[in-house]
Amino acid sequence: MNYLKFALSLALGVILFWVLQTRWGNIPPMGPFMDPDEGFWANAESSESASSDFSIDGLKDSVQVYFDDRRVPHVFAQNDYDLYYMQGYLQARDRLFQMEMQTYDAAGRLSEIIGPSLLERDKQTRRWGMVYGAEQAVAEVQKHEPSWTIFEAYSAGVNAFISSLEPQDYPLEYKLIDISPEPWTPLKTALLLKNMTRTLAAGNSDVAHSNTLAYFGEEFMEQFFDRDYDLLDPVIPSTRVWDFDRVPVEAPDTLFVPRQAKSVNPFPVPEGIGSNNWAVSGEKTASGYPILSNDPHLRLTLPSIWYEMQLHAPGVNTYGVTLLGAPGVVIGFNEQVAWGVTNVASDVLDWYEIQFQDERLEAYWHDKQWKQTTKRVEEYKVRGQGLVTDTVVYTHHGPVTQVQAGNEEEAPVYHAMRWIAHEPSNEIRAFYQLNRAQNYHDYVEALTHYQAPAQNFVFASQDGDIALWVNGRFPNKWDGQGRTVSDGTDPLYDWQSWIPREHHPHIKNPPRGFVSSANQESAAPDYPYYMDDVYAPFERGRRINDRLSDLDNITKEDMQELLMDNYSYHASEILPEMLGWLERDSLGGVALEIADSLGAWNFYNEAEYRSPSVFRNWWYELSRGILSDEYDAQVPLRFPARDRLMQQLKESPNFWMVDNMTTDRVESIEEITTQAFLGAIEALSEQYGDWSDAWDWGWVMDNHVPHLTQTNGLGTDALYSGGGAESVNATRGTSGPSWRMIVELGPELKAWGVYPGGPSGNPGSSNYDSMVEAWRTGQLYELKFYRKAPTNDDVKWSIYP
Amino acid sequence: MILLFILIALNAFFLNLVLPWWSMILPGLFFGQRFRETPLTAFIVGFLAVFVAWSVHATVINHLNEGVLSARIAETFGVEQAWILIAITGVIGGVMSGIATMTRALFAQAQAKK
Repeated sequence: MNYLKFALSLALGVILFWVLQTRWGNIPPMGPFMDPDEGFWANAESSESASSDFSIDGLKDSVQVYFDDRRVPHVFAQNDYDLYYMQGYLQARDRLFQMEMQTYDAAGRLSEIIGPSLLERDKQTRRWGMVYGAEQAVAEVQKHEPSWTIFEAYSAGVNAFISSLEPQDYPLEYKLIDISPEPWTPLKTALLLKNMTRTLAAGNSDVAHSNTLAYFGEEFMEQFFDRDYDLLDPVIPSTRVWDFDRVPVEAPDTLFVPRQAKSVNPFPVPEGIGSNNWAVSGEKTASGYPILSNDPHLRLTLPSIWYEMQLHAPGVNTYGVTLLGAPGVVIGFNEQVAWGVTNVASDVLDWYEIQFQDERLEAYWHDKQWKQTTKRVEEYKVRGQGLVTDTVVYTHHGPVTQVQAGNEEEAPVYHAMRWIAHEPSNEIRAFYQLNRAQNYHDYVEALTHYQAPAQNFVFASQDGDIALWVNGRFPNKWDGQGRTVSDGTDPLYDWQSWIPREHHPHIKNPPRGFVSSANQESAAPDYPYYMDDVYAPFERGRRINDRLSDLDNITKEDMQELLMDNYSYHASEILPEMLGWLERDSLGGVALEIADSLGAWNFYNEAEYRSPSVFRNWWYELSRGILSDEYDAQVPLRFPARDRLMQQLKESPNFWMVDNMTTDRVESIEEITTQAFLGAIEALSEQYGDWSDAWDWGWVMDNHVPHLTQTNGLGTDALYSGGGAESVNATRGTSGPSWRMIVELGPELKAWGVYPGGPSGNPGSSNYDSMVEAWRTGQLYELKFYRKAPTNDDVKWSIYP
Repeated sequence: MILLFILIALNAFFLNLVLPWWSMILPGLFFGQRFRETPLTAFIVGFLAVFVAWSVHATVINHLNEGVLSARIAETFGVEQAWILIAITGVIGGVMSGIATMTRALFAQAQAKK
């Protein structure tokens, strides 16, 4: 009897131990997680680290690291190897989880750490050839000895940090998910860069474009998707003369008509990804030296996508933001030059309809013969499920994806993808050289090593040069090539050659005294090459160019104001017309009051205004009212861009789509606009209650920064702030300016910057979100760019090999 | 009883600094029959000792951290207040220790009555 009690008690203990030691769904093992010494409590940072001396195996010489008052690390090394070794070490120390998570995602391995729920995403990642592309890049990097050394030094630094960790030191997220870090490799750095290409250069609407063309016809496509109308203001101004003959390319006689398909882009690019950059020449500035500015708009997360650093060694002294997982500074400056980037929306991803010989998918028809495929077996070690395999077929175009036919009874359609991410490339070499560039010539040379994702590289130097190169590797296409699904059997649809570098759109020291870009089309319609038809709407680019043309004696404050500029060109162009169409007689009470307040609005998307909320909803309802009845197909279609629809409405308000096809009568623009207005008020009232401060744009826009994994509690609260997708200050929900930077060149180079996050990736640190409030309110920090090792009260690490 | 409490609390605290989370059961297993407590008293003392050791440890950490992390984790787990996390921490350590201490007391009782 007594032994039975003992046995029961023992069993109870064993069961409880097992329960607390085990991960249940998304709940971490509660025993180790709540342990005050080893669990999440161990991540609660209590004090700032103090200066210290210590040694790390693997360094070649001594290194000093200074942490300034914002805890930005400034690395002073004696050689390049140690410099990138320490960059790896410091990034891992502050952001290890983020580094691993990003590369697990890029490698299609999320299901290994999270479980079967992410297996489909992983399969899509591998079917897109992400790992294949990264392997191509590693092989290319290995051909260039100095680059390979940097990759290895960086990896060694990351691994030196990882090997110093005990389980209680693991970042919080490892404990939440119950995993351990694994060693870093150069392949992971390559994967990280491919992930940027996937984020920024995977946009395509080939299937939707083909379907839309089949559904609405050619005239419609010309009306809504060919881009040459008045409001456009390209990156390279239309005054630029193109004094070369384009490299010829042979086009097919008639455009291929693919089978209708229901392919859904598995990695949709969220609207709000875009960027601004500009440089003004010394003639327009108060100091007489150029000023450069950049704010890349990306998905905002905690920890931030960026990590701020200074890297100093013989031959290099550079400062700026780095990507977690990649050696070198991506956006920044050195003592002589500054540079920044915005995305180029060129079409570098095309889909080809493949004719296979039979179901074995071993041969496909191309150029009048059967060609062999290759197969790559992808393995997934799914957590809690075991090994899963998936065979991906490769043609010479690239990897093949099976998509659903337009009609469900038909056989599936096979699409092969041709994507710039599969080309061998070595972008790190471009950044390595940019970090050391002394002048325009060095900058141009550095850019020759950069392929993807294509960027508008803005540049300014202490010599007084300003420049902008639309830079990347661009296929030389015939007009409209790759807008639609291509014929995989006809070599005329292949990428036949590349646009020669010297033919890329670029400009240096233009007469207007500034260069700028905001993701709009790269050049005016007379540019001899076709690059794409999907670019950002005109608003941001035009606003920046308007302001820069007007300004003189420019100071840092002017640039800061422009970075935070909330003007909506969209509203100023179309709202007066919409108010004109509104049937005021049919409105009453509050609706009339709201209409009046819109009439008095100055078109700025300020947080404390309600008009931006009403306008945005009204425009949304109006577009829906105009388009939704015609866009009634069972396959994905392409919608006209915001600015294109707006232009159409201005030119002919009662064009054919305005009528609601589902009714017997013919509706006028006045009726449709009034319905949309009432619909917008109803929608806002439902969500925010009666017309009051709750309708403030600052709340309605819902700016906030979530955690990388969307885990509750690890992101920010709502950030009441202004901006908008069409404003220069392009905040929008959870995407927006991920780094705002201004650099004033000159003998005493000065720079300012901020990002919505903090240096530390640890949610238990006060440095996790330390800059968010400054970002929200448009403040910038002066960046401490040390010419030589400082002798101030920075926290100092002296590290010995 | 008080001595047992002190022995378990102190040993559990120090062992936890070098051993994994489950080390809090060791003092109870070791000292659980030393003072001839009844199994129920053994459970209560074992529970309270590590409840106090762990929750005080967590409270001190939380105080030094100014509650930054506990506020976030509380939201992650959907609990209202950070002190609930401290209580959960104490209860997990306490229950494991209490059962261990009781088990040892029951073992001693069974041996004695053989």
